[in-house]
Amino acid sequence: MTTALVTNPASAHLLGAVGGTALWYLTRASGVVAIVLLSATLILGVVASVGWTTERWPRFVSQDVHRNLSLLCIVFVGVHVVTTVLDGFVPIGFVDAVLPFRSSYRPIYLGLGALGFDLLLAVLVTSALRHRIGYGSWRFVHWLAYLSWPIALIHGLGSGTDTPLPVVLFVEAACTAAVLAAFAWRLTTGRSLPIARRAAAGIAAVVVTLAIAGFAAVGPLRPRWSHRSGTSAAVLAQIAAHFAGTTAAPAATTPATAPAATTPSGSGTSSGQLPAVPFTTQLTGRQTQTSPDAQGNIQITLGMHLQDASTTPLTIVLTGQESGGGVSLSSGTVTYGTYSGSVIGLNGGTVTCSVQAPGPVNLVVQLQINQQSGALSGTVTGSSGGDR
Amino acid sequence: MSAPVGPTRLLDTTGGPDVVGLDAHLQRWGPLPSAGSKALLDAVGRSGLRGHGGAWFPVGTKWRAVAGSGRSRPVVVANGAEGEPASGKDRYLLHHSPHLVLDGATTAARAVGADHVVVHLTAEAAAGVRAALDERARRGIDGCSFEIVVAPDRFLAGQESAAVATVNGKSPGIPTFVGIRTVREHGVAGRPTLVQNVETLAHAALIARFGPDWFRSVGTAESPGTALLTVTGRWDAPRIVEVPLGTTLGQALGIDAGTARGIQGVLLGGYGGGWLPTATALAMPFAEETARAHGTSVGAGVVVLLPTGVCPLAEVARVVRYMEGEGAGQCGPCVNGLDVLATSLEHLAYRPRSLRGGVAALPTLCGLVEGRGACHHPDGVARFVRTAVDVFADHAGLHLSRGPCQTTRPFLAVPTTPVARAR
Amino acid sequence: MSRPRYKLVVDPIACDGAGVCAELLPEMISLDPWGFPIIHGAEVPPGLVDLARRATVSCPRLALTLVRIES
Repeated sequence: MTTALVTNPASAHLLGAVGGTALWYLTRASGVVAIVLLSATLILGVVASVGWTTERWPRFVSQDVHRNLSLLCIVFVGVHVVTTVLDGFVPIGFVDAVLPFRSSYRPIYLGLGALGFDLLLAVLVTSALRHRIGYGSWRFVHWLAYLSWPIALIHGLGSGTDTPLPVVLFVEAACTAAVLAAFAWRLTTGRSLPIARRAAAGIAAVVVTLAIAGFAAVGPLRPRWSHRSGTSAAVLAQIAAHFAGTTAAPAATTPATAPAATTPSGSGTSSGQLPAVPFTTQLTGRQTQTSPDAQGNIQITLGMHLQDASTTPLTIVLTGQESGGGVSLSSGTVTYGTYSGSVIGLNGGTVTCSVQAPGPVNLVVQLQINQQSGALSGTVTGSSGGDR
Repeated sequence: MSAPVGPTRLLDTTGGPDVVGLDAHLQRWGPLPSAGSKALLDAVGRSGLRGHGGAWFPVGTKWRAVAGSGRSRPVVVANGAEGEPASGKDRYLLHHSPHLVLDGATTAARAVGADHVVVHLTAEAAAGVRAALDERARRGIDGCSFEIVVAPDRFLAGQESAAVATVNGKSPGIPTFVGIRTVREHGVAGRPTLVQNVETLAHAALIARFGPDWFRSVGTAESPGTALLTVTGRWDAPRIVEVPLGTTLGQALGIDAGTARGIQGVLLGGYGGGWLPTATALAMPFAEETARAHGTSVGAGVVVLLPTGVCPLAEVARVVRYMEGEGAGQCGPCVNGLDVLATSLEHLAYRPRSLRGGVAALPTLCGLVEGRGACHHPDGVARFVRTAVDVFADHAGLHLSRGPCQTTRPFLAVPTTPVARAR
Repeated sequence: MSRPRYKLVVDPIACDGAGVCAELLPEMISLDPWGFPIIHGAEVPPGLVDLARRATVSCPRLALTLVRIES
């Protein structure tokens, strides 16, 4: 099962963002749209709160647009959360989407996302029950909505796959500028709040903005962010251990059932053939990974043996830019004995390859990874390459 | 022990001590008969007793509403926090005959099913009532618990929802919005609450003893019984008198035609009441229904005879500015409207040429505040101003044609309360 | 069986004069010189009840209430 595999952070790191699936695109896109909608909601909220109005733009229009934008924003956040969980690229369950800071994958930045989601839900619920809970409680919770904005932004910067993309940076900068302007407007016109509190809020806004900008500059916008973004120490240690394993001898404790296959086997070690298609068979093996080079490129190697097919190794090598906790695949190769082919798809723990063996064969490899040992197990299904 | 036959009931001082102690009280009136809730509600309902705090609401109707609210045990608030500067009758009654008020409070408690009474009063009345409660506690004559709460020194302190706010310990003396849920349903500690003026309770104590028919033997059909008045301008100092409702003020205060010539106009009902021409006021049967018919109210029984030689417009302006300052500052129309109203009246009194729109602008301004506050504070001020504009129309004409009065003296009591000082 | 009757009640303490109600229900609500609502008519005409309800929902201070008239 794909989702079972991705509850393991190591697997998530291994089977990094190939970026090939619709769900994963949807997750990233809905996140960006949500922050734009959240910004617009906040700005309209300020317009309504300040009481700005003209002949052609009565105050109830600001209110209604504010409310409708906020509902749309919630919808997009919902899509963002659901696609993230279903996609399974990152090990996040529905519980992680609501309870902050318990995910082992980038706990802080995903946690902020969960926190922001909780705040939005609180605002949604209190607004729906406004007439029951009374103005005071509603207003208190609604003030917290301001907090959800920087939280959402840091979440996006810290965990977003697309953070370094110029267009995303531009959108985030524009939202920040607009929200800051709206906030300043609110603070300078707020009648009900004492001047000291408004000044404090203004200073806090500037400090938070500078802090976020600084964070972005030294954090997500520099290489190797995924290694520094708080993915659990155990996972990082494991990565380091595997890196050591690729340069030195395989660890003595390597389980016998999972022989090390840290490099693709040389040619001619076997004249082994793939079973006749169609077939499904068990496989075992081991995964290793290199540390990112100066450009942030990493290479993940899956060394495997089919259970009932001699000793011929099946090796898959995934190469690409490290990104979002995994790898943004630039190329993937597969070898089986003397045959070779290429990786054509990656979705969570499922790798799809096309091999000339010697005729075209499609291989679908479904993997589960033991986080402690790096051992792989799973199934490989072969079908005629003419099928797809 | 006998029912008083004359017009003097509450202030009956057979034996004549200044403060009627428990012994003298029991000697004069006897112990409270032990009637049940139903009998008391019936007696008070049939007596036709109305609220003497100023609203003149039928007491039987109010008690039934509190008794029938049924959710939780009601609370009785005996309200003696008269914030009106021109009134002193509640303080006087609490000082002079506290046991009559406390009898009334236990009667009300028994009628509505309450087991707790809050005596809400001014600071100066607290000591006397505390002593009276101690006397009663020693004899163990009451079936309910008592508590004394001192009201803040401000005009609105005695307003029903403001009294509840004070007792509840939140924003003392500030009215709350009761347009959806009244204090009868949700008052002290969220319980059904009967807030009743102390004079009203004293009348109820006598009704419990002597019955509704006796009570109705004096007064009008709509307003039976007697009323305590605080009269200013008749004698050297203000005086508390008890008059049968329905008698004329001329009769009750012994004012002849000669004395009446020295009176410019009469204020009934205090600073939330209204002005009447002297002749009308003295000849009118003194009762709420007739006062209403004349566009005013007898309110809490305040009667001010304004002497000649005092500029009535200056007095009106001073009072309205005071009332503006005494507002709770919560409701937009009242906050804005009373300020404009006070400023306009100050123009009329001292700088008539600055008054924009002339005297006719004043009733218009009144219309902008009437019925638009959480309490009736702006309504009372509007009535005060509307009637003043009518009664002192000639004087206003003189101000506009010849300028303001050169000499006047302050006459109406306009205190500088802590509230006003803080502003 | 008669149709329920309603009136509009302003909580003047809560009201801060935003004026949204007068925008949404000019048939029954006008504003005084300071921007606070003046309700016209003791009862909401049956045809305006939905709009009146809309106005109460849109009040930013929850100061406007549609109250059923007990008959």
